[in-house]
Amino acid sequence: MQFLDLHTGRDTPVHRLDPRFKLVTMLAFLVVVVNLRQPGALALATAVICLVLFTARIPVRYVLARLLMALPFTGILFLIPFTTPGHAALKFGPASVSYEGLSLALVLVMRLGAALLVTTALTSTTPLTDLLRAMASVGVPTVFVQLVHFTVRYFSVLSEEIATMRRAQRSRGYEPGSVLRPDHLRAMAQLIGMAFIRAMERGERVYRAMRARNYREGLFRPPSRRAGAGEYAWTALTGLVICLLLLVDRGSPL
Amino acid sequence: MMAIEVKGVSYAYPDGTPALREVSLSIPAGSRTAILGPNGAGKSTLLLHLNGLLAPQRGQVFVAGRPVLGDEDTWVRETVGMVFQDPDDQVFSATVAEDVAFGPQNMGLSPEEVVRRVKASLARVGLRGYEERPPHRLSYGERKRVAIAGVLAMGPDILVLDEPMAYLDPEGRLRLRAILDELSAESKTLLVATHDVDFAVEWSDHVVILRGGRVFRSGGPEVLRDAELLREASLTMPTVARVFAGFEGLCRDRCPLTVGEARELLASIQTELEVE
Ligand SMILES: Nc1ncnc2c1ncn2[C@@H]1O[C@H](COP(=O)(O)OP(=O)(O)OP(=O)(O)O)[C@@H](O)[C@H]1O
Ligand SMILES: [Mg+2]
Repeated sequence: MQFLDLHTGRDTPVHRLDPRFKLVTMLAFLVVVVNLRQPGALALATAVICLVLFTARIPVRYVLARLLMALPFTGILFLIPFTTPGHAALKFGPASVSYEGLSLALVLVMRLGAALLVTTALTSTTPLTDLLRAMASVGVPTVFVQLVHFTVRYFSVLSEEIATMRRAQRSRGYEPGSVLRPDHLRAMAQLIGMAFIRAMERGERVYRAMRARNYREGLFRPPSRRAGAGEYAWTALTGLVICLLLLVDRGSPL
Repeated sequence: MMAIEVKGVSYAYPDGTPALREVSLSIPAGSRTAILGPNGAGKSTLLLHLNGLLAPQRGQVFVAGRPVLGDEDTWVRETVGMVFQDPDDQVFSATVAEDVAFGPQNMGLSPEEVVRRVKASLARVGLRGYEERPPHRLSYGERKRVAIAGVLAMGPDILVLDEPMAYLDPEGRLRLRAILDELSAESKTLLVATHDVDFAVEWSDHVVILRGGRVFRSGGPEVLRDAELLREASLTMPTVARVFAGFEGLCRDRCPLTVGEARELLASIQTELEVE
C-alpha cells in the first residue's frame, strides 16, 4: 500500500476540489465510461481523463504503474476474440479470430483502461482520509467506510506480522519451496492459520482499546470545507462531458 | 483519599485460566505506583479491571469511592485513562488529530472543545504539527505518544499504562519519563505495569508485586531491596543494588537503590578520601 497518498499532497486545481464533489462526479463518470460501446467515445473519455491527470501533474510513470497492476486481470480478455462467434479475421489452425470478438475485446480493454484512469485520478488527487470522510458524508454505509479504513490502517501492521513469522520459519531452517511437498504445504497452512488468528486477536484488542475511550457510533466527521464556484464549475463540466460522450456513443445524450 | 481500591478481586479467563486471585490493593490519589511481576502474573488483567473493561467475577473495584460496574460505566472511562502496551491496538484512526479527538468526541464535547483538547494534548506529548499525519507512517515512539495524547485528551485524573517503556529507544524512554513526571506534578494518579525494576525504583513511590495472580508484596520502593523477595517473584535486583551488593561496608545506614542515591554516596566517599 506504499503507493497510497503518494501524490495527493500536490497543490493543483484538481487537488483543491472538495472531495465530496470529486467523489460523486468521478463515480458518475465511471459509470458512464464502463457503459460506452464505441471505441471512438472511449478514446474521447480517455483523453478527457488524461487531461485531468495532466492538470493534476500526476507523473506518467505512476499512472502507467497503476495500469500495469491490473494487467494480470486482463488475461481472460485475450480469449474473447477466439470464443466470440462471427466473421473470421485470422486463422490459427483449428482456432479462428472473429471480427466481432476483436472489436468486443478492444471495447472491453478500453473500458478497463479508462475506468482505471478514473480511479487513479480520484485516488491520486485526494488523500485517503478525505476520500473516506467524503464517502461517509455522501451516504456510503459507515460499516463499509470503516472496513476500507481499517484495511488501510492495519495492512502494514499485518503484513509486518506475516513477514516476522516467515522470518521465524526460515531462521529455523525452513526454505519455502514447492507447495506440492506435504511438509511445505503444512508450513504454509500454519502461516496462513496463524495470520488469521493474529488478525482476529488484533481486532479484539483494537475494539477493547476503543471501548476504553468510550466508543459509541459515528467515527468520521464530515469535512468542514464548503463547496464554492470551483466545485460547481467542475460538476457542470463533468455533466457536459458526460452528455458529449453519450452523444458520440449513442447518437443522443440519453 | 484513595484513587483506586481493589477488594478481593478474582478473575479467570473464559478458557479457565485463573488470572487474578483475591487481589486487594489501595492506590492513594496522586501516587506513582509501579505494578511489577513476571510474565503472566496478571498485571494486564488487573489493569483491565480498573476502568471496567473486564468485570471482576468476585470482589469489587472502586474508583474515587464509586464502585465500577462494568461495560456500561462511561464515567469510569473518563476518570481512568488506559494506555495499552501496543500503540497499534489503540491508535486506529486515519489521522493523528482524528485519533486524539476520538475520546473527547465520545464524551459528547462540543467541536470547539474537542479541537482545543486535541491541540493541548498533542502539545503535551511533543507532537505539535502532527495533526494530519497518518499514524501508520509514524515511528513506534511517535505512535506511543499519540496513544498517550488520545487518553490525556479525555482529561482523566488517573492514568494507567501497560508496559509503557517496551520497545522504546533510550530517547523515547526519556521523553516518556518527562511526560510522566509532568503529569505527576499535576497531581494525577499514575499506575504503570512493568517488568523493569530499575524504572520502578527510580520513578515510583509505591510498588505492588504480583505473582501468580496474587499480590505478593506491596509497599514503598524499598521493598525492592529484598533480594530474596525479588528472586521469589522472578524479578531481577535493581542494577544499583546489584552493584553495591557485597559492599555493605561502604554504605551509610542503607545501600543506595537509585542512580541518584549511588552518586550521592560516591560523592561523600570521595570527599572523605580527599580529606584524608
Ligand atoms: N485472553 C486471554 N485468554 C486466556 N488467558 C489469558 C488471556 N490473557 C491472559 N491470559 C492468561 O492470564 C494470565 C495473566 O495474564 P496477564 O496478561 O494479565 O499477565 P501479565 O502480568 O500482563 O504478563 P506480561 O508481563 O507477559 O504482559 C496468564 O496466565 C495468561 O496466560
Ligand atoms: Mg501484560
